[in-house]
Amino acid sequence: MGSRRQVTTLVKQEVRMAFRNKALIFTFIIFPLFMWGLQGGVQFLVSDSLDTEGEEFYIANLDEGNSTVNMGDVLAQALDLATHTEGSLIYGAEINSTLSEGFGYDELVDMAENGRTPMVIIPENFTAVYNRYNPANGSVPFVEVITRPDDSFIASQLQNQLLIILRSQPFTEVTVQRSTGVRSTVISFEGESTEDFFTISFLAFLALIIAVQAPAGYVSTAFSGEREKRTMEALLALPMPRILVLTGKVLASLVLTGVFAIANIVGMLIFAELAKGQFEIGATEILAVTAVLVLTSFVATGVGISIASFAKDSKTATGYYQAVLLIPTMFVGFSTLFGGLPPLGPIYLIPFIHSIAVLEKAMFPKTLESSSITGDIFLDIILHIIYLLVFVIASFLIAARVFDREDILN
Amino acid sequence: MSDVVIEVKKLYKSFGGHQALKGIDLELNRGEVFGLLGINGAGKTTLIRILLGLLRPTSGNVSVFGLDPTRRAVDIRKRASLLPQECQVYELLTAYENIVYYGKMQSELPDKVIESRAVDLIRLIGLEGRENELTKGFSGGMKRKVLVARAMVADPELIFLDEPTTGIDVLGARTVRTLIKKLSKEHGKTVVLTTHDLTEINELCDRVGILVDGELVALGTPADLEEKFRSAHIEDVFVALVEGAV
Ligand SMILES: Nc1ncnc2c1ncn2[C@@H]1O[C@H](COP(=O)(O)OP(=O)(O)OP(=O)(O)O)[C@@H](O)[C@H]1O
Ligand SMILES: [Mg+2]
Repeated sequence: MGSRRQVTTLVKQEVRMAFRNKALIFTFIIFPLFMWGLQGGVQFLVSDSLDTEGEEFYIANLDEGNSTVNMGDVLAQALDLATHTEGSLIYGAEINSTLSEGFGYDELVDMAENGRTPMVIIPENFTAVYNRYNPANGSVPFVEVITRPDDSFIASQLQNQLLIILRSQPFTEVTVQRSTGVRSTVISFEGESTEDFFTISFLAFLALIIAVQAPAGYVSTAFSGEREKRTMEALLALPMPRILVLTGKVLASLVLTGVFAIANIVGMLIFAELAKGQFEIGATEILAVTAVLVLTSFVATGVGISIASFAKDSKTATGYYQAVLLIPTMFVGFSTLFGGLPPLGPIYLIPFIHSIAVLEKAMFPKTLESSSITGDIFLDIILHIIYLLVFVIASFLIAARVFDREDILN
Repeated sequence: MSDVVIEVKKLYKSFGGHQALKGIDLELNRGEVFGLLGINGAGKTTLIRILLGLLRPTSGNVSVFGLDPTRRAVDIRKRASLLPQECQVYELLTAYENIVYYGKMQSELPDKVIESRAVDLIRLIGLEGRENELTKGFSGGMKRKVLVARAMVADPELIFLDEPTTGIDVLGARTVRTLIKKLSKEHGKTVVLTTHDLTEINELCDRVGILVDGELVALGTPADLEEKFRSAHIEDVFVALVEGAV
């Protein structure tokens, strides 16, 4: 009927204008390609310009094993092999194994804390716990990699190499959790997933920043831009209810988000290629991160629209947008970058943390004790999505109200 | 069908404490070209906005085509279009796209009809040959002409033109005036226009309403008003009314 034609015409024109708008092309296509490419380039350069040739680290294997196997030895051998394997993160590094005897666990930790050489300490119950590992009860034995001082290149390479080893046979049941607060990496046996927690957190962090940034341009052009450029009144004088005008604009923004998601996927592929060896990125990661992107930018659009409907020009709108959206995003981004999800608390009022939560709970169903809501991962994910949807709907309702004010004409 | 297109009774509109319209009574007939005169802030734009349901009256009765704009705005706007004051084109669309866009948004006419009407209108406003350029590069007057054409593309019965010739050169203004005359004389359209150009009123309007500070202080044909106020020209009537000398 008439209103269907109006909405499709509106969407078409909005998209057409967006594609003729250099600033929007930049935010929807160039910006994501650039961000991912840049990040990939940095990874590439880092791996190229630094090497671990001649660097030293300690392995102290306290594992008592059992009658048939010593998993600590298996781990130590894998590290040893990596030092001889070209292309590995610790290729060329030297292993010092003199610490295996005569020192207790606490002494070793103390030495690592005060020394300058990174140390891998494999605890005495490593094999025992490995064999006892049971996904159902989620018992948590751990390997600690003391990397203090943690600013050294070898320390971070060592951590990452360890993560790679713990992801492959026979350690595939291992999930890795890294935290910034504690200056060591705690690697615990937990979930079914073999994914690299850090990689996905990092990708999600980037995705979050990009996804929140992207809709700003369209949203402020589409709403405050119409007022500023004096095209709004004629638009509102058309024979369609304002809610349909709003709907058309939201749909246009969804189309643009689709274009944006594609640009991001291409960007991630470039990133994956450049950062090979440091980040293992497969189709699952890309899909999951894309889902976060789309969810997040949808929420950002919703919130952005209600903000932009208040502002009289797009500059003001962009300003409000940055303050209201970007600052909390950075906050969420940094607090989830290394340590997974923070415990439940006020930070969960910020909508974007829920898109990260959806991602992490879907990918790492067992790692998130303190951030669990119901105890059931599936229910949790639904709740996170509901929160996001409520937020989006509330934003649209606010926008619709604002849009209906008489003041919008001035 | 009744010949009364617009009916306004005791219309009041205030913004906060400020009364912009104070008891307007007005009736407009089909095919009329009606001119609204008044200095800046007199309430012309406010009146037009209320008639199209863009603003709600504070009190009073308003009907357009027998419909209440506060409830039936969509139905009214299918048959009435608006060229808002200070309105702009979409600079990232071509002249042709600007016109066709609104045609499709406003009417249920088939695409083909709207497209051919757009082509005709572009010829009428003298923009032939430039219709496929982005309007970003157009002069102010050219843009204004595109807007006038846009207000007409859906073949509305009633057209509100809020200062249609402001900013257009002498020739362009004449083109627009010719277009308005043609619309009313040949096609029987009702036109409501505001202008600060009194010659335009004389040339185009069947009747004039003079708004002073939210009140309709005079209503009649330009000749009536000149006679009633014993002035040689509508401008003198206007100045006298505005200065409160009458
Ligand atoms: N949305 C609004 N909020 C507050 N006051 C308003 C609003 N719109 C109009 N006004 C006031 O109402 C009065 C009439 O304004 P209006 O725009 O109708 O005048 P006008 O006759 O069209 O003037 P102009 O010739 O300058 O276009 C003015 O005093 C104006 O300040
Ligand atoms: Mg006005």
